Amino acid sequence: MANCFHLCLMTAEETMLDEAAEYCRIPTADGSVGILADHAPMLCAVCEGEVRCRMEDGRERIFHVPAGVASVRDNSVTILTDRAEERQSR
Amino acid sequence: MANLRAIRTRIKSVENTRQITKSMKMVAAAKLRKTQAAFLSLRAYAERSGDILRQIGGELTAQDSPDGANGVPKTSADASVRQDEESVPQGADRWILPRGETRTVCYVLVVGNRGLCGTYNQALLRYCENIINSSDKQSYVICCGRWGKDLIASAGIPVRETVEISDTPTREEALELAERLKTLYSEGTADEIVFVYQHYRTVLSQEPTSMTLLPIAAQAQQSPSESLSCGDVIFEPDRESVLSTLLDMYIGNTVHAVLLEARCGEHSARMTAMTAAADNTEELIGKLTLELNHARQAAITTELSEIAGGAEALRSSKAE
Repeated sequence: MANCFHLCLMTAEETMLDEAAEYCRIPTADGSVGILADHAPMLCAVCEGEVRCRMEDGRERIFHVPAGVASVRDNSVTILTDRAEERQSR
Repeated sequence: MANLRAIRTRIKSVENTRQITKSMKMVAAAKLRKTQAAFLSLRAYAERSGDILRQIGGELTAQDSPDGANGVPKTSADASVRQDEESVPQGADRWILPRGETRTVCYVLVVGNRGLCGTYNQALLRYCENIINSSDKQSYVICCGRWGKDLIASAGIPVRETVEISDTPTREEALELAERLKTLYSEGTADEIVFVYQHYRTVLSQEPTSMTLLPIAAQAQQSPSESLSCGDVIFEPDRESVLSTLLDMYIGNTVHAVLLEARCGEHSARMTAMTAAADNTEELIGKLTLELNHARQAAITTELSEIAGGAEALRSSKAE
């Protein structure tokens, strides 16, 4: 099994995601940022766009988010945004 | 019998009161459920954004203070020494760092929209009066909620404006209020913004509380338990933009959470008060019914003895 990290996607209304993931891509002003397990601590401003995640079991999930903030520390990624909408993954 | 009729009318009116209090209780319960659900889902979100902010805030003050103070400045005296003669901090930091001198404090008083909720509003009003009277700074109050405009004014609290907030505050209302408070703060009309509201502990107990919204460092002073500073953090794209996004979000969340919490308290206080009132009417109806029965029985007895007396008189007059 590949290395995993804890991924959490929260909006003001609900917690959309709270589980282990292998990979996650976050849109920022300077382009996308890809995150794998054991990433260095990071804080990034999320721009409007798609957050792509590959979950522990290999499923891919895509969320459309407006601006927000993502925090990476201790192998745990938290994305905070006002709203999020899940897109059907291809 | 006049007495009988009076008691019947009384029972009817108490029954009406019971109906009203019961339905008010039901309405309050429904509103409480709705507000509580919104509050709970926001709380996790707000806590998380607060954590991240404290982490970034810790680094911020460590960076900015050459005297090596770790974490936020401990007292406002510290802060004024550090930035003496300095103007208002610029950029996103202006929300965080306390100003050299706090001249004007803006209190945001979150009262209920209506009365009939026990001591919820009165207790809060007294608390707010105490705070304002005990501080020597200039202050004014922004009042959120429709309750007791006259009462608040007559208590000698300087109300600047009143903001209407619905029974279940929406995100939009909260963001609008947050925007207004930020403007007051950045224009310098207020050097500190403090929320005064009823902290929601359980359905049965609320507690008047004050919480500093801006500057944010003052908040960290109030709860210094966590220090999340964790060495080198990468900022993407840069610290300034992360911080300003985060702060906007954080201020909005805090305002929203406070409004929801206060409204939760209001609904549950009203629910409790109305439950008590409905129970009282129940008791009163029981008492009145008993009284009614007594009166009716007394009337029947009187009537019977009158009939018997009449019959006796007739019989004795016939015998003669």
